[in-house]
Amino acid sequence: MGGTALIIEDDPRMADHVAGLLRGLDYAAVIEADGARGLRRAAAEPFDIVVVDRMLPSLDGLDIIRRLRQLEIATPVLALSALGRTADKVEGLETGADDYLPKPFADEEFVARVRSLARRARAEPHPEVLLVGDIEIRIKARTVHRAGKHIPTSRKEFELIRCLAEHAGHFLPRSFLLERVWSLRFDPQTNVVDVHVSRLRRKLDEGFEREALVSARGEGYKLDPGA
Amino acid sequence: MRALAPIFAHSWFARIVATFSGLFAALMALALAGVYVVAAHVVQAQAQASLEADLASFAEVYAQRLLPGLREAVERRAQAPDDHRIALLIGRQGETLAGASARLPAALLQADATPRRVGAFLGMTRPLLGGFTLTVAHDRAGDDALLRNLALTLGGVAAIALAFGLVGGLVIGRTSLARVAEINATLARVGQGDLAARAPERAQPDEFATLAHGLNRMLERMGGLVEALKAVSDRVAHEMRTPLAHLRSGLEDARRRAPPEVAHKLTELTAETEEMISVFAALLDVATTEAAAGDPRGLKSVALDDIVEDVIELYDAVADEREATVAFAPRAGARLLGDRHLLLRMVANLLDNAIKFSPQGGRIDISTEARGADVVLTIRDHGPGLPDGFGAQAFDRFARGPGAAKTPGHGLGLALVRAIATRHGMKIALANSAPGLAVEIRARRLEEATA
Repeated sequence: MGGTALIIEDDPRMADHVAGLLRGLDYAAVIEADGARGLRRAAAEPFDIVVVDRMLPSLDGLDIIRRLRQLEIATPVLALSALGRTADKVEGLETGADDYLPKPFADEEFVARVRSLARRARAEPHPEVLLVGDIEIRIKARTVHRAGKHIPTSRKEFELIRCLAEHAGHFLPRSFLLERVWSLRFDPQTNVVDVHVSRLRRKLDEGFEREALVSARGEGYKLDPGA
Repeated sequence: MRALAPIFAHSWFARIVATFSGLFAALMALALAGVYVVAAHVVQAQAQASLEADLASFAEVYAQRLLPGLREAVERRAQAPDDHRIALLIGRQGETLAGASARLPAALLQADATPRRVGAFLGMTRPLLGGFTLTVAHDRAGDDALLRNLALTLGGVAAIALAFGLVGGLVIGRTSLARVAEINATLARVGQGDLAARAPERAQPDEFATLAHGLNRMLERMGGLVEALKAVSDRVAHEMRTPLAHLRSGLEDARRRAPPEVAHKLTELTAETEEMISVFAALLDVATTEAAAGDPRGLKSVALDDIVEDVIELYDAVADEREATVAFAPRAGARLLGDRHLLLRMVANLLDNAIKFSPQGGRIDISTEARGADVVLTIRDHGPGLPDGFGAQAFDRFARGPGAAKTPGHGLGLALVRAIATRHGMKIALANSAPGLAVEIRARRLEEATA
């Protein structure tokens, strides 16, 4: 991955933290604390990604996105906000943000979203087959095989393993899976995702020595490609 | 009378009206009876006095003009057509010398110094010098008619007075009851959680107006306090989000650099922080959803059955784990005006509760059905149901049933359900359906033409 990133965020600690996460993804990150200055830079320089806080002094985050889109600047924008409301999310996306993340967020969540945005921006063709270690996922046929053994999956289980495979090797938090697999932009505050994942894991890992689907407390789930 | 018993049992006004009408009627009857007795006595006394005067005047005639004069006077009396006074002169052998013998009963003809009543007559008989007897009598038919008329009139007056008393009492009672009913209706709405309910106040400064005014002032104060409490919790939730975000990112930074034994502890602390964040997020969701009540922006036509099916699909693994069966009977096919995400969340919270409180291997029945202009969503579990007296308060923030300490959650799920229902103008009813709890949500259906 990698490239250049602009962070428009007035909270210096949050800005530093986001910059640290982006550097971890090999981005060269710059920070602007002021909305109007941030907009000028985003319009003038070719960034690979822009992370905008929703509430900023001088210019609202949504206004920045709206102006950028009016100027026909298509840089992927990830909006951040302390107002983690569904309605705000919808509003943010309708304004032209490519993704919307309520603060506070898990680092894995932020990373997974940036990775998704970057992949979409590079317009990578969707591969017909996803290979993760000994797991083979055929998108059109909607089949999953592990080391040649067919793994039967329900509709949502297929979406789940596909999402995990697209981010293979990286932990995906529950809220990310909820949004991508079930189109839910809220946390049901129960273990629904964990139960789905453990059911998938039973199917996937039964009879195999290596655990392909691993979980880490506080981080989420990951499809491990193995050595 | 038996049919009226519940009215008396439940209405203070009915008891007051009945008591005072009864008392009034009794006093009236006593007074009128007195009037009647006095009138009857006066009539009788007058009749007696007139008989004695009559007898005296006949004696006078006899003394002056002897038998021929008396016979003439008695005959004259008998021929007077309208006179209700009757005279009869009887000879030594019992023969009628003058007067109308046929009309008088024989019993009256015995000599007696005091007037006697026999049949329709009041009469006196007196022996005269020379062996004659003179009887004077009074035909009481006229008096009786008079007294009867008097009784009828008095009875009529009593009946009218009683009717006025009852009707007046009822009218006053009903007017007062209507005002009390207004205040009771207000209190009932407050009891159901509508703190915005107010009793109608009238300009006329009477006791009811004072009561309504006092009640409204109390409700305003209560509403203000509740609002202040909500504002504080919402403000706290909002203000805590930035520090919590810092705490979370700081913990993650530290964890990456920490040796494994410390990293493990930091992971636990991160999970605790997430727990706090999710409570504050849920509180904020309740607050902002409630604040948006009545605002049609963001509401679109959605299919209720699809939403329920999506939620069931989300929860199928959890239900399997508890060996619970979720049966869905979509009988509505209805669309309604709503926010899909909020409605998904509402149904998810309800199904989550139903599964949480279901016994192992239990069954959960979900149905949608059209009822008139409404669509009704029912979610019924076979768990323990709600404890007694834990009805409306189940929807309060942080409200948890006595048995809920073992189950995860913070008591915000149903608060959010209510907030979402309020946002959509839906009505929620909870009912213990022995066994289990039935949650019924009623929403206005969207007309197909506008869908």
